[in-house]
Amino acid sequence: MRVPMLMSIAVACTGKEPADSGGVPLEPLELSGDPAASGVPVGVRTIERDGVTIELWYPAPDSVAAEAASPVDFAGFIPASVTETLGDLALPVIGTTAVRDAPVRNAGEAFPAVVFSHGFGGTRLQSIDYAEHLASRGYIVAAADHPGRMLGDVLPCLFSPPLEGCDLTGFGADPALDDVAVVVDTLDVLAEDGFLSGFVDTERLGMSGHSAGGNTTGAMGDIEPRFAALLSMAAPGAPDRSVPTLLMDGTCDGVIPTEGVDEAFEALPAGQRVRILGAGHLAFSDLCTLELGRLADELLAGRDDVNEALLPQLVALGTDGCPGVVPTVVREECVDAWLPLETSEPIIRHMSTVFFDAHLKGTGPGVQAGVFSGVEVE
Amino acid sequence: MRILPDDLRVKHIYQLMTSGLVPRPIAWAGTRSADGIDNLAPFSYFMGVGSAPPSVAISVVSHPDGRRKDTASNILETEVFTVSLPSLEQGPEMVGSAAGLPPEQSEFDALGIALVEGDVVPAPRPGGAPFAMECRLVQTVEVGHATMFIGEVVCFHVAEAALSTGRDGNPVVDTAGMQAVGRVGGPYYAPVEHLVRIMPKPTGKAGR
Repeated sequence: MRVPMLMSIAVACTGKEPADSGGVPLEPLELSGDPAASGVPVGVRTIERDGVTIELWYPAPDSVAAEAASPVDFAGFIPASVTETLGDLALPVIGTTAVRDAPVRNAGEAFPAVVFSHGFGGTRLQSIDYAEHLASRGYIVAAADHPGRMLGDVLPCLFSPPLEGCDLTGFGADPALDDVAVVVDTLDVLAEDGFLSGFVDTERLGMSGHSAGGNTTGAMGDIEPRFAALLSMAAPGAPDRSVPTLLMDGTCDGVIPTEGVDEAFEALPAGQRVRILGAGHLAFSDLCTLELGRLADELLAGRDDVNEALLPQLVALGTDGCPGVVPTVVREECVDAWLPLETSEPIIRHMSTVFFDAHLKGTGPGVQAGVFSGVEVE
Repeated sequence: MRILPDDLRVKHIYQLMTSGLVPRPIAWAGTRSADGIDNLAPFSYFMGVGSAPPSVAISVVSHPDGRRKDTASNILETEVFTVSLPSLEQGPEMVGSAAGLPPEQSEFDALGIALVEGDVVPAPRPGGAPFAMECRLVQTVEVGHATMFIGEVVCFHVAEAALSTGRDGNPVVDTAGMQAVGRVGGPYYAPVEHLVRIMPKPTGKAGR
């Protein structure tokens, strides 16, 4: 029973009253037995540290439930060079439930933390539903921007010559490893003397990521020994050491073939495999909301200054798995359309929650087969 | 369907040709500007020209606004270049080098690609490529928006893992061992992983 031991060590180590507990009443986590169901209200803060922008989601008091959450607007991620060329992209906003700068919930316990690393063409805010869901179920979730593979790095590369800001260096060495190290360091600092003091247990850390962020997850699993559970989504990212690892993807992913994830799973020292039949690459993010495929069609079709060699590849990164786009993978379950996001979302919520619950909280049965039809579990 | 190029926009001709002219080998071209900035970029309008002298040709299409790409400017300035064939494993770095960085930045540095200095010509090449050639420019052919560079190969490099022996004990490249990858249309690349011999058909009339 390793996890309860870690919990007791953590209490002994931190051993301090939550920083804000004076004004915040004790509200234990009371969670639905359905792991896919949202839990308590969620707060969110953005902090800068060592030049890294980090979003933190956390359990908040019931009292903030009535407060308005502000939707996420990706306009701030679009470089000026792109809007000067294409005009305002008028990106749809992504709905959220998190309340900005809310206090942290005083649940009488320190929460484990899960780090998230975004993929190529994403941002720290690309998988809001995933982050908010885990936070609502009693986790601190931390995600950093990774310059070198952000949406704003990719968009200028759609043009020939590329516009200012084009940066595909994330195709080479992983630019996120240093960022994730800063995130972990930040959690340590905030646990010691910040708004998370007494609220976060940095001896119980999970690591997760999507696409290129899944590869970052596998690599960080070998770099940071405190990562006690790794969740790699739509990626073959796997550690060399033996640590609980879950590889979860969609079988109609046209960006990262599911066969490659199968190969990584075969080589895993300790792990499980979840295949969501029919899901595509972006099912593990909220990027489909941005309708980047429609934008590409509308804004780029009539232009002659587009980099035709790169465009199809970069468009696939922003559309694979989205409604209204046709899968490119040839499999029985991939004909005409991907699995609806409304169907894959509760599966992803469930699997990520039971995985981290089992390995970071020591509760629940973990990832099991038979919960959903259309999902293969090994 | 008969298609006349005059009826198509340039980018649609590009899409037609790159989807039909397949598979194309990829020339990962290493060049250096007169100011000493290294550049690396992939080109798939690429062919062998002849064996005596050994020569290859790459075609560098200008940006739609007519500006030359750094590769073309560098070859015109220095009259040398290298051509490397990337392995499938080097695919991400190769694609990452396709966008084009500002002229003052080196793809080698930005993408973390090991730079190997030419043995014979002063031009860089990427480490780890299974097959590479150092070239001296012998002819430049302007074809509309494209500039074709014909280079004489003055040094070949074959990675140990891809080295094999021909019938006379001569060095050849083990095609399977080099993990070659070809460019096809759209976002796709084609690994060369299934090799066949083409023999007379087993039934029916034999050839004349």
